[in-house]
Amino acid sequence: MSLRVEGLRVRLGGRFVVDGVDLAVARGEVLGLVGPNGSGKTTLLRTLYRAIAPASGKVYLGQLAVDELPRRELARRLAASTQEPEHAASLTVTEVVEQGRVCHRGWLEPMRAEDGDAVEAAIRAAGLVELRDRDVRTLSGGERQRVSIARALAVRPEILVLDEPTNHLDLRHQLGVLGLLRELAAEGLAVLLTLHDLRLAVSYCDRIAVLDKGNLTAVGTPAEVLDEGLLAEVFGVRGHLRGSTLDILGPV
Amino acid sequence: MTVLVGVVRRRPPLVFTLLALTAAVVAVCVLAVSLGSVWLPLGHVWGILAEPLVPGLVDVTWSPVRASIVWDSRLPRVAMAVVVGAALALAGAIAQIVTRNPLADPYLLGVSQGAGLTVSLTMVLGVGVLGFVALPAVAFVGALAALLVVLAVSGRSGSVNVLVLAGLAVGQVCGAGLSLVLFLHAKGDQAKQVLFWLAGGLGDARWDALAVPAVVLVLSVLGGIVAGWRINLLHAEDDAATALGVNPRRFRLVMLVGVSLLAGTSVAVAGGIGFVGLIVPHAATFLVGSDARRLLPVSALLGAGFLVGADLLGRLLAAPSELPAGVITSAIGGPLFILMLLRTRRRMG
Repeated sequence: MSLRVEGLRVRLGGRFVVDGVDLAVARGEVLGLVGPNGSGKTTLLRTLYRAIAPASGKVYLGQLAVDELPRRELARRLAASTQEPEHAASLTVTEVVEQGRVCHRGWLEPMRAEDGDAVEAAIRAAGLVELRDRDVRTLSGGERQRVSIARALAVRPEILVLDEPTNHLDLRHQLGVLGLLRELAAEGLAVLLTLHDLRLAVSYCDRIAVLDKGNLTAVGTPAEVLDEGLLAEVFGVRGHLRGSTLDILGPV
Repeated sequence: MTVLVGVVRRRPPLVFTLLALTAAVVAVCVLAVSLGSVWLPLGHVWGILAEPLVPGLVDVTWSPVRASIVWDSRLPRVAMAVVVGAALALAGAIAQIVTRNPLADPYLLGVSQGAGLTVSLTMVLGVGVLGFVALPAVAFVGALAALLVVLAVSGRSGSVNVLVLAGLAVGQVCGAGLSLVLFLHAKGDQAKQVLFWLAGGLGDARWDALAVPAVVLVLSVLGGIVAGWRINLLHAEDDAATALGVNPRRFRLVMLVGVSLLAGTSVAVAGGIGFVGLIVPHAATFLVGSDARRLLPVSALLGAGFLVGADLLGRLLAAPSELPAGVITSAIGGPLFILMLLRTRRRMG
């Protein structure tokens, strides 16, 4: 199932943080949403899973409008991991990842074997096997981030939305998580993620969408999008893309 | 803010923990029936309890007075302590999850005082004919109203200070309202009665007063176990909970209605018993972590045992008279709470 955003405008604190965005993410695709701080990336993602309501515009999953779906159904189809996962309670890694299965069951239904399998697979995929019985409050920032990603994976969604899934991760785990997202896309998931590291975006994303001041300024393959003009104008850096290698030379 | 950090370890299966705690609670209960101004040997206690169940099989070696002490005085009292202790602890545990704040407790949130105000209004204005079903209902309304005011004032800023201050303020206002009611309308012994009830005692425990709180408790525990998995979503931040398929605001409100029911019905029958809802969930978290599926039943069991023990202590310390259980729980809980605050302060530097 694909994700489609049409004419989305989101108002926060009296101004349009997202101002007329049209975007589609297809099955089997990894789409990287990039842009400077404050460009509206997180707000756009939060609108997708209905944490905030747009001022106008619509989000569709296939033919279904997101705001007409029951929350549980939306959660089953579209899973998200947030940027700064908080873990204040004394839960184990496994207990947090299990939260991803709640949307599959009714109020009075307990966990089933199938849920256990999904949790197990997510813990493995996120490289958390050794940490599964650890109290999440004792984990490092990067480990917590992987727990959050595992929770989203445990949902077994059709669409995966990740807000800066790599910002706390060491280099090995950055590559691990991005490689995992590629595999999931190969299995038919639609993946939308925000990234700050343009070099990683070039290596791992099929397409890149550039958000600047709430507007999409460019969408396309890295080669189509990341030219010298855009790098200078949106990101304020000098650089150029050669093949699949992005060279950043310095600030403008 | 975390007050007690659970040790990282594999936890024993929940069934063992529950069985061990249940055994401990039963043991405390039997002690509480046996001990008091009149000492009843354990053999007699078992016999008196078993006799109506298997009549003829037990040799009656005790006087009818002793049987009456067990059935009409100590057992209802112990049962009341079990129900109220479990309900208050459960209310505290839920409040702490819902507000994601380890300082939440029916008492610190002003909920108990709200219930106290409406109950004493009812007692003083002489609507006593409404009986034991109406008092818990009245208490629930007061509890819920107080809670809604506290939440409206504090928002969900996550600030411990704002929440506790709002709770204190609402609690104070309720207390002042209560004084005013007593001052203007109390006749004869009413003021004394209300104040005695507010001190939080189980001395007037009667079987018929137990029905409503017991039903509320049992339904809450069952609900907590069944929906505990979903309640865990409230441990996550609002955005994550939304993405996982719940409406956190609505869910919180439902849970807080549950807190008001538990705390309100407890206050209606037992008055103001402080610190159970604050201290016990911390002990439970220390034992089994924050997963609601474990935390809620374990809190209920620990709360039951704690209040039975506190009531027993109150009877033994001041025998042949007695201290209200609320005095004992506060005497134990207050210093523990201060200790927790000091530990937190140290951790935060």
